[in-house]
Amino acid sequence: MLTRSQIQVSTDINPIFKTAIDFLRFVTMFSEVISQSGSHIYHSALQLASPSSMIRELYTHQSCSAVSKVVNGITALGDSCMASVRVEDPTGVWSPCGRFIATYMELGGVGTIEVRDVNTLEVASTLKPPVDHPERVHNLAAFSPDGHLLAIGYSE
Amino acid sequence: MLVLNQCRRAQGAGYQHDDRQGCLKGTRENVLNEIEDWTEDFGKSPVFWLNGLAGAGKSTIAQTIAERVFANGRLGASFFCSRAFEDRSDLHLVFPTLAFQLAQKYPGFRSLLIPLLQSNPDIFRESLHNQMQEILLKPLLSANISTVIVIDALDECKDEEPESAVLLVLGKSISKVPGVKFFITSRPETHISRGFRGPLLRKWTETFILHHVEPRVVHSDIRLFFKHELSKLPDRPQDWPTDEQLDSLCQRAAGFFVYAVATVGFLKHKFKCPSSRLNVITKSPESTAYEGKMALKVYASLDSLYTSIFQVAFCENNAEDDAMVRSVLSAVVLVTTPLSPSAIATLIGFECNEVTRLLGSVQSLLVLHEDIDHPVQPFHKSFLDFVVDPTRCSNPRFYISPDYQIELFLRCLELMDKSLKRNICSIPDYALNSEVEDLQRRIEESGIRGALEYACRSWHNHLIVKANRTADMVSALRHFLEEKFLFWLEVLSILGAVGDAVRALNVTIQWLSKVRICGLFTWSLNVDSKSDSGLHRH
Repeated sequence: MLTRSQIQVSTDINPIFKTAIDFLRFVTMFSEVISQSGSHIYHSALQLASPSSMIRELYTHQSCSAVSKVVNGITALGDSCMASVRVEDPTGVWSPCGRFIATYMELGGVGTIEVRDVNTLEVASTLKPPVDHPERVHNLAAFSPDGHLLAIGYSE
Repeated sequence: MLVLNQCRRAQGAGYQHDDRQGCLKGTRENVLNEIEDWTEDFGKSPVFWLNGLAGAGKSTIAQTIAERVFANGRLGASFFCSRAFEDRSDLHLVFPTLAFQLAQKYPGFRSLLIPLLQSNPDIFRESLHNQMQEILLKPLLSANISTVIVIDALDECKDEEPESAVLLVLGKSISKVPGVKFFITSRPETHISRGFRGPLLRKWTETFILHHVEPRVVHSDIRLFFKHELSKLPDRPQDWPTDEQLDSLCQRAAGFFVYAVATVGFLKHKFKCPSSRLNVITKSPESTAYEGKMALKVYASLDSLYTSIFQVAFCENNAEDDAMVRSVLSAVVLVTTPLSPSAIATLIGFECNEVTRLLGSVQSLLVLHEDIDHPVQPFHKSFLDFVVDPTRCSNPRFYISPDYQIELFLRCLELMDKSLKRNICSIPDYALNSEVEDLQRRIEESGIRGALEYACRSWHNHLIVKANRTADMVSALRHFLEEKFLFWLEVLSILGAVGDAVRALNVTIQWLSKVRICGLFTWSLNVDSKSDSGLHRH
């Protein structure tokens, strides 16, 4: 039979026990991200933790809204350098340094090439078609070997 | 070399680090000669075990051997284990550290090791057996190297196995590298004795038992040491010390060099006359309260020396001072990485000059530098053993009880609670640590180094089970996890120590499951029958 003090002891320990186990799961699951970047603890790891986890329950107020820049959420786990955006065509072109990705988007009916920083998914550069040929940008782009230039193709 | 520099290894484990002195010239001749002969004779066993009790002088001998073999150009690598440092007591860093040093010394070894590390960068996380095979045996064998490797104080490595894991692996491999000799020192602890005497290693090992050396020989060595060191003291009276005093000191040292070292340290006090201090020692009772406890009697004279030094240091203290000295000392002897006086002050919440004053009062038992940012350590492991053992340190004024572990744990949590905050190093949003060029400068400026770094990386080392303090500890822990957890991870990320987070959480979970059971158990002992029956009535 449980008495008052006995109940108290077990209720005292149990929640913190659960918290500790949940936090350990969080750290092991996201150790790669956490090791690479302090700020991605909030930007990536915390965002990707299971919504029902203790870490989310206790620290939601610390998470950043910045990830909403990602068009369709980050799906990759375990590596802060991987993320996904929704594009018209699922191929993208990586810069030789691996830091940027060029993708084909249709913005307001105009085909556009966007270059994004893969850490933040912020648009680093937008390449629009010449004004007189709005419809002809192709999903075709290539970085120069040194990564400084981007060639895009369109038909005349 | 870049690949090499990235490999995990213990810092400062080599013989040339620390300010360790070798043997005084003219002392320890027999044992040193025997070991030196062994290093040169490949007809002899490949392993030499120098077995000795705490304070017998093993590390000093190992130091001397390392220096001499180095001078001959034959020292390949050395690892001085030390439980004062987390990395130098980590079994899994022994072989990588040795391999790193061998690679620095032998180009042939290096050119074999580098491609191996490139193709298998995770080798350092693999089992000891694989480590030994891949990063030591293979390159040693292929490069056909003949060398001497020194491992000091193997007992200081944390090893829970019934038979020393390092020795087990060594036993399986030693016959494959005929040119390599291992000189190993340790206390005669069970798991180590088992390792050397096990079927694998026994036939390959030569043993020298330091505490079996004829007392007459050790006696005269210690006497020589006293004479040499005491003659260097300023302000000593003429014809001091007398032969009788020397005899009495050697008698008390009872074969333990550490006794002589501690005594000299005590007599060296800047402002006190050495001869009056010597009287304190020679007049103290030689042994107390040890009747019938043979095992303890070995250390009786040493314990009585430590007690005398404490008594002199504490003689002007009131009870409040005593408690403060114990707090400060606990932060020297119980920490898992040595802290500087300034870090100790921050951690336990004292003024820095107070800490240096209190440490100064027992300075002969410590390695203490002028610089307040230089880590302070016990002068010898035997002192550490003494202050935390109530059967040896029988005076409660000096005894560092396990309560101080809990105190340190709470202090660590308190300091983290006070200091941790979001983005403590003001690093740009989204930046990877590797992209922040001045990361080290930012770390220095943020004030993480020292006490806060220790608190973040080591709080879990002070979790012990003590029923009457559990409630305090749990509530501090809960507060930490609920308020500061992510800020703590951030600091570990910046310090490149996320592995510590996994360790800390594992330890915490184990601790919580223990106190959960103990909590119920204490309750059943303390149950108050009146309130119990009160409960039934309702």
